Amino acid sequence: MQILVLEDIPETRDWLIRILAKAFGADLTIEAAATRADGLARVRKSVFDLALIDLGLPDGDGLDVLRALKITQPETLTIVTTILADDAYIVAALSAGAEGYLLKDQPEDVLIHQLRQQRDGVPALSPRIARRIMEHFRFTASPDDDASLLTDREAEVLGLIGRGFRNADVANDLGLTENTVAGYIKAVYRKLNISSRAEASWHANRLGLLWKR
Amino acid sequence: MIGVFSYYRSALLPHWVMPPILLVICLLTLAHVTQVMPNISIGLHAMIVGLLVAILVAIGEQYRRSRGDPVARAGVRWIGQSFLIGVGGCVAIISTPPLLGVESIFDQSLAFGFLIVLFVGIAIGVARHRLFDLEGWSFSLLFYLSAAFVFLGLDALFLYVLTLDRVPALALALFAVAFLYLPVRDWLWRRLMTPAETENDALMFRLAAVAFATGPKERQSEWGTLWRDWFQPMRVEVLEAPIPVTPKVAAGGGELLVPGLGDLPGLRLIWKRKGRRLFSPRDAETVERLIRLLTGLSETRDSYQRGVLEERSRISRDMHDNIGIQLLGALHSGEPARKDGMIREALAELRVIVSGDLPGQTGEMGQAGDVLGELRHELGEVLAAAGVVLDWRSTPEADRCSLPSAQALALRAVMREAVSNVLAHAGATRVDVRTTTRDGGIHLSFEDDGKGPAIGAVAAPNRGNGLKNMRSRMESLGGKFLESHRESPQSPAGMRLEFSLPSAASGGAA
Repeated sequence: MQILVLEDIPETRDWLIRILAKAFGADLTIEAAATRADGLARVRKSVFDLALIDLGLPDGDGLDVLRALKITQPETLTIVTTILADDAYIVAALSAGAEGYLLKDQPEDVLIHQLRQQRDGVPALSPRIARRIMEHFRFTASPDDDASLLTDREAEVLGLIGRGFRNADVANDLGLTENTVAGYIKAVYRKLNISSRAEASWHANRLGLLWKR
Repeated sequence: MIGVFSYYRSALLPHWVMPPILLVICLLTLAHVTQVMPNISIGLHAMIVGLLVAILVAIGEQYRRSRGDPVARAGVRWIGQSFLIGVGGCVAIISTPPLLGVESIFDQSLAFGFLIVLFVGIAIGVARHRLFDLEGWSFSLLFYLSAAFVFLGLDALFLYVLTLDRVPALALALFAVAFLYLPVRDWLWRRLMTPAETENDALMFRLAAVAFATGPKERQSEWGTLWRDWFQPMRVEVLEAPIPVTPKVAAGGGELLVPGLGDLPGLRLIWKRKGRRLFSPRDAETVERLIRLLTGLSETRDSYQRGVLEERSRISRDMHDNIGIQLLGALHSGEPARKDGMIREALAELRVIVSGDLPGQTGEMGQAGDVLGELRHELGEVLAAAGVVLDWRSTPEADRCSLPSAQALALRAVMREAVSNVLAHAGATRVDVRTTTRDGGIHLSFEDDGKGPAIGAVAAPNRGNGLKNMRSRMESLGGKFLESHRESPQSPAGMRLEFSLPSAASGGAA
């Protein structure tokens, strides 16, 4: 398993690498980078299965590395690691295509648990982020574009998560399997990505950027 | 009249010229009366028309000379127009036809009615020395005058060229005036007398620029720019005391006094439109209206700034209460696990403060649902990582309950502590949490199926310390803490903790 760890604090970087080893065993090749520039260079050179990306780096925004990965290696599982980032920042990362996020101040065993879950395709979503996402769709979705609208079920799942339900609770409450719930959350992420792209092109249009090509 | 316009408002001719002119006029009149002249056309009418032309030239010259003095110009325009309509109309009807050798179609007595215009005009001009509103009137008079001439001209045209009868000709002329002249006049009136629409749009931005300028200096400069752009005065001076409370027209329309607003100074605007116009009471009304708008905008800005300040003080209060105290506790705690726990809690609080979107964090009454949901998720993750099942049930009443910031903070702290106790000592497989309300306040019960308090308290002294912390946190907010055995068939097994807080509305939580 090829893993990229982008993190500028050395202690935290080592700690993350230790956690990865505990979560996924010894058969890992981990490349660590401390800056945006180094991160971009490694994304150009190697292929990764998993990338842990810190957003606030000394020389710029980790989101740039995330975007580069999504363009050149869309198969890579990208997880944003953050500590104090504003919720809106996490939503922005999800919109940019991140598959999940981790809060670095959590106890080690919680992080290991969440890492394994995200590797297995169970997306992470905390109540506050779920509420943010609902807000996002309320303000940005356009009625003439089905792809940017949440289905009733997706909205229902988001609503329950926003009230503190975990995936298993949601599955229980709605009479679904946990896998189906995970599928709905992933669909929401995808739409977030689509709607943010639509929004970006709308802004570009408005600013006349697309006409200049 | 020729005397009046030769010397009002500035002397066009040297003073010695006037007596001979008057003498000539007297002689001519005498000649007419004594019938020395060959006929009435030359004797009387030619003299009258000649005088009229001379007076018009004098008026034109006066008007030209009054350039740069709007008050004088308005006066000349007013009196001149009165003369033009009154005497001009009269002469046109009585004297012009005989001179052209045509029979007059109007009765002489009708023509003298025009003279009334002259007298009324002069009367108004004199009664209102300051003349500032006359500007608008002058324009309308000019328009009505031209309407009258168009009317008469068309009438004459139809009569003489088309040889129509008098009645149809009059009707046609009326028709033409109504459909051609009036719309044109209306359009001209609007073009000349009211500011363009676009100025109104731009005005909104100007006002906002004043109200939302970054500093007092910028505000004052925008304030000056506002009036400079709006009235284009020749000069703007800052008013010394006494500053008028309401806008005032002064110096006969030459100046407009703008009252101050807050830290913005009162201003004296001198010569509207670079001296081409006079300030009118309508301008004063406009200023009053603009100042009212500006006051409203300024209040909006003030309340916005108050909001920013409140937010800032909320953040610093939260920083101190929630984070500073946690970190200080962590610093002084000798126990690594507890140190880590406190630092983690501080970071979690920091994240909440940065996001600032939890109603419970605003210090006002927030809904418990959001805070409890967040807590439920967090504790669920922690327990799941250790393989412990969390069964959490909430009543709708509890979710809707008000939860002030201090209560939210305390609940988060005690619940985290309870969970870490379970993981550290109890060996439990499941945790049940129930949130309800009791006497309007929030009530939480927390049960595990672990080893229970009797064994735990003896085996782990730290745990007892944790329970003491919980009790003091609840009691400091006027709440209650109960510690007992789990109510279950296999009793005594597991531990039951109960936390209740007083109703936020009753003011019990100070």
